[in-house]
Amino acid sequence: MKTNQVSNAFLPFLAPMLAIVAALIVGAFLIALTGVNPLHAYTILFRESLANYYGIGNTLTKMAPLLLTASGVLVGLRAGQLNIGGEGQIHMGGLGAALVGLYVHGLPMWIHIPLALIGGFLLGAIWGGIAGYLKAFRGVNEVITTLLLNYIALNIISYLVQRPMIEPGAASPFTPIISDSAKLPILMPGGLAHAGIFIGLIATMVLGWLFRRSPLGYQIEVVGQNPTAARYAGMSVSRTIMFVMALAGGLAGLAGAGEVMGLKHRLFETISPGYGYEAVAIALLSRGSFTGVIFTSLFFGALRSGANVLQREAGIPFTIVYAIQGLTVLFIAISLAVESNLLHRVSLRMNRLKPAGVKL
Amino acid sequence: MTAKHSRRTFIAYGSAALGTSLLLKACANQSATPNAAGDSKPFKVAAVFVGLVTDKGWNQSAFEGLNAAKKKLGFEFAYVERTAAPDQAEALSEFARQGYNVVLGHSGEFVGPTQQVAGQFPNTLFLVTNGGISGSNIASVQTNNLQAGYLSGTMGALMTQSNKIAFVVAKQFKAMDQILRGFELGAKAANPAVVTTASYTGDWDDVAKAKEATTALISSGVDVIYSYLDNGYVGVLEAVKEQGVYLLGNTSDRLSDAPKTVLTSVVQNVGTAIASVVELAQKGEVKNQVYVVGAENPEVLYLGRFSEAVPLPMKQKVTEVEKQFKEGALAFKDCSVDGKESWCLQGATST
Repeated sequence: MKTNQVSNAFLPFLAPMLAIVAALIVGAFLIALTGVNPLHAYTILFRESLANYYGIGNTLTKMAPLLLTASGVLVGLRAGQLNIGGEGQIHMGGLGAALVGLYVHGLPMWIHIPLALIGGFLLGAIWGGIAGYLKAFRGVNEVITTLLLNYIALNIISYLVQRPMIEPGAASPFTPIISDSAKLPILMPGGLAHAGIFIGLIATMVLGWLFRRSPLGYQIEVVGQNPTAARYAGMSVSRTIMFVMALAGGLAGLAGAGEVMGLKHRLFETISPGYGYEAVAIALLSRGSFTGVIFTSLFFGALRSGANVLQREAGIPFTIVYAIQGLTVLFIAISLAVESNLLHRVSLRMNRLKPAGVKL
Repeated sequence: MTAKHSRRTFIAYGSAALGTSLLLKACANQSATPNAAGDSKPFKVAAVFVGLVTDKGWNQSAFEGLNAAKKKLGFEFAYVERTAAPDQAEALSEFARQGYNVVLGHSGEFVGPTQQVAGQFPNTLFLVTNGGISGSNIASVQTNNLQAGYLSGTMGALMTQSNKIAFVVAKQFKAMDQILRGFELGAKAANPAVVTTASYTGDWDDVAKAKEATTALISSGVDVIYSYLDNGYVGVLEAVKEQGVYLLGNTSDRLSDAPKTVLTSVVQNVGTAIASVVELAQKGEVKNQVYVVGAENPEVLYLGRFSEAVPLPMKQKVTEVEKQFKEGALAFKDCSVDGKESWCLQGATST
């Protein structure tokens, strides 16, 4: 019984680890194709993303939006909703934060920052909430609505930064810089890492607690696993779905707010280079665990920051690193299938060995 | 699906992660020493591109210009391509940290990131293409967009039958406003009856959108199109060929793409313009200003080959305008049109 418990706690980490190792091995061949020694490349990748002052800063900068958005996707998954609208929600969140940061003046930092974060959360939540409403009360598939809402959001932002919100004389479509009082503090002097990562960690921990300890978390879980049973138990399925989608959108909105308030200090068209889609992969790989989300986001953030350095220092094209990322996803999917097969066989054998009535 | 971890393991993993990162930070702190650009070291130039350096347009032009300059001037050259907005500040500061003397951001998008990081690296010159900004260690370089637009407008207005010519571009911002303004002024000067319009596709590389926008313009009576796109240019070219109207090329000489359709091209060799500023920097003569390079440097901005469809007198008229720009007889100044900042011809009172 004890060994089984240990393997239960250990397995969720073992499988992704093996998958990552496998992806790196296959990736090594790809790197060798470009004429670079794979070992040299991986040394750079590791050193420059996790073992160097600026590298850690870069990794954290990329991890922050990934973590927040992936947590949002994960919340949706818990309620059985696949939210692939992170990209649009990030952009709307960025808009919310930029509106507060640009057009609200004269506030002290300790009011302005939370207010701008709330602005980002709200617009993201509205964006997620629209998809939630359509799913919960109109039965429209959330995968389609969240995906399409991405395009609407991106085009709204594109219009706003090219016309009404553009900085006069701007060299490219972007807004003026937000007030100093709405800028998130920089964590590591001389680097770019900002306090957004703390917002991400806090949000993830709160969510972890929510699902472990609170009735609301339980309700979301039940709705996700069996809507019929939830309805029978007197829970409002549609309202829960709507709430979850708004919450997911709000979390992605916070990610966008962090990008605007911490990194770029202004709004422009591509504040997210695909974080919203990467977050779906992260959430799926984390297998429902908020702890897992933290580590998977860290890994993806490190890959992203390491990828930039690989290009700069070793001349390895960015696309190779994307391929490694894709391979990781593929191998984790494979490991999940193998593992569930394995677990199934183990439990069958256990059942045969143990006398009836013993609960594993 | 749900993993069964206790709160204790959660905290343990979390604090382990935090602890490791703090430890690594402490270790790495020592190695991060500021690098002084010594005089004996080779001159180093780095460039950061938003797109690919093989795009046959904006980025490739700069890349080739810098590579040619590298051979001529003998500096070290490194670059990164496809750098999305969230990574731009990081890319610029990494190069500066490694001791590159000149770090180029090849797009107006780099204005923000440059202003963000330039202060930390006083020994590095940050150069922004189309930036329009300058500072204690910041300079900008651009080709003369007003001249380019003006030449195209002149050619278009001389050749149109319907008196309708149009500018197809992806996005609206200052550099594109300048081209459009030049286009209008040039067209009006050649033929006051000509009406100019602009169409924004939203994407430099989307072929389908470009073709759609061009077809829409042609069906509204436009018979000369001035395309200012990267890969989207292919879509414009298709539409223009299908409908049998004329095209004005940009950036490079496009005549060979369709010798009967492309009237001429206003070649804007942004790479050569950048290289000229880099050369100044290597000599230590660079000033922190906005360099606008136009027809006065015949390697940077000039008219490409003409199509056989262009009659000789019209060809001469356009070449005459090019000559006036070259000699400085024709120039632009800042002015205000309908209460908005704009540009006018020097000596002219208004539009």
